Amino acid sequence: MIKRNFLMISALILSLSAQASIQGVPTATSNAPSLTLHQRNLDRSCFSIRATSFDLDCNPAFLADSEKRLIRLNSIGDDNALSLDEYRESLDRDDVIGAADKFLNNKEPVQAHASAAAWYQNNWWAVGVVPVRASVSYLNRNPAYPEISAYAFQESEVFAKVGLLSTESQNIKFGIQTRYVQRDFIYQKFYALDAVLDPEVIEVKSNKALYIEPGFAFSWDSEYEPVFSWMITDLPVFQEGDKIQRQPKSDFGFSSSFGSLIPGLRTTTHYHRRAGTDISRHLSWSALYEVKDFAAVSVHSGRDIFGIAIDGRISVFVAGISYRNEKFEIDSWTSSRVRSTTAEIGLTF
Amino acid sequence: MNSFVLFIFLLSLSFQSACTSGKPAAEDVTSNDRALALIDQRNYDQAIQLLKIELEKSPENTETRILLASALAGKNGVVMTQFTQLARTLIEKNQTQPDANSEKWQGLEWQLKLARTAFEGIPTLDGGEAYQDLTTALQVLIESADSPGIHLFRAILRLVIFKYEITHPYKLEFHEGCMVDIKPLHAWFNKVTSNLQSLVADLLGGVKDQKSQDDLEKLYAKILKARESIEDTFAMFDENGVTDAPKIVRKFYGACE
Repeated sequence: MIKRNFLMISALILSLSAQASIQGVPTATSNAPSLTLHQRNLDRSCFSIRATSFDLDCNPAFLADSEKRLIRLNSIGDDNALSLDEYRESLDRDDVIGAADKFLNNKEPVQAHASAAAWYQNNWWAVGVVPVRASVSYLNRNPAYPEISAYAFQESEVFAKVGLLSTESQNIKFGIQTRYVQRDFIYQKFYALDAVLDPEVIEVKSNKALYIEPGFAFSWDSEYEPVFSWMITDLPVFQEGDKIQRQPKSDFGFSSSFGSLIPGLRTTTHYHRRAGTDISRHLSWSALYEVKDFAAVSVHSGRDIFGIAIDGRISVFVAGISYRNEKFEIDSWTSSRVRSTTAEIGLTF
Repeated sequence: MNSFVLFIFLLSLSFQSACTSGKPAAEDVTSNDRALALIDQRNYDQAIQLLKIELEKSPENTETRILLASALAGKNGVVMTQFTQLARTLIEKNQTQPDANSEKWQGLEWQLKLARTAFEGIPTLDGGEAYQDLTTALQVLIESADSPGIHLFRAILRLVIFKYEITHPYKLEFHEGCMVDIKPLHAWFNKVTSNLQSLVADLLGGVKDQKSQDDLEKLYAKILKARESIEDTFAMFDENGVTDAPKIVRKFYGACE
């Protein structure tokens, strides 16, 4: 009964919450799972598909019947993060003008991400740490009086997740993920000329938060392993410091395998509410194909996004690469595409 | 199985909420949003048209004023990336400055070179229509609420206007016997120096650090003094009405040789 009430309350919170955002800031995917290359590529549909044998399930409910013991150290970073590093190099050389010139000449939205993580999974539970996760998104508009929309954060996180089977049926799984996050962030629209004369216009905020994120999965006995899953994320139970513009989010999906027809292939049709009334915006489709337990390919596609990732392991070493092409709506009349190539290196024991 | 029913119920609830939320309604999209999109597309004329109507409706809207001034400036190539060379010259000036032991003429030469490089770094306006656009943009911002960025934007517009005025001096009409009416030239000088004075005042209103404020205050005082001196000189000629062209005027216009 308590569980049912909790689920009802969560659903009501989600129904009432609106996706607050600054128009023009590409934040759509900045808080999606990103411990590994496939998590990053699958975006939020990661919550409705089982992970590979050397990855961690995004939805804790999937841990309930998981049978693996794994220590993994991993880092990912995209090429846009490298291009941001050029700004740092310019500033290190005291070439403020060079950095400003490059920045002002860039009319396309920029979205960059890099993170490092370590975790241990022991069958139905896992604990981990993300020493650093950094993401920068910005857009520069109006060449005569530049207006910058920026969303940047650097955070560290510790997390734990457990998956439990229902006493009623082995096909009902429940999981909880808790995350404690400390972050510094900028979430702001400002005029560049204001910032030139008064850098304090740019407010770097800090926040600490503890999130409880429940996951739920319902399956039935079939060769094709059908699973309905649901997950709530970014549900804070404790927050301290500046308020971060993140609302609780809900994800639903249906995944299945191809049984003995194509062993190792799983697909999911995923639903996540995004801005806009067009239903196609909320739906995405993803596939994950695992070759034995040493390589995996994932594909993610939605109305405005396409991504493909491949990684593999040899002995204890893991490496991979992915490509993503995402349409970003700057305003009601203009859109642009953000392309990124992400690389992954890691160790698994 | 009850849990499954609950799951389906929650799923439908979320779908329902998705259908009633999302993209802003048409009335939430403002003229300013549309104008900003047009500016980004370099469709300046349409943006100016839209913003002028919007400004008539809400003259207090600072964002509309910034956008209109931006569109007028952008239309004439006055965009921030055009000021890179100027900024580089000003920032790097200390690195090229001759040391204290150097000859006095070397210091003067450096100052002249610096001024010429800085002057060349200011965007050049393409004709009287562009000049008029920038004057309008400046006026739109003068009537706006203040912010450090608006002060700096006004100073930048004044700088471009100043360059145009300096490079397009008043055409003095020389009469027989090299007689000229100095009054229109006086008015032109007044306009240019007043613009320069306002430029420094705008910078003063924007900068926050004490050293820059002190430097600008000194510069402001110098400009005031120079203006007074110029006024005194012109006053002498103004009294005479049409007068014999002074040597400096003859030299400047290359007239009466």
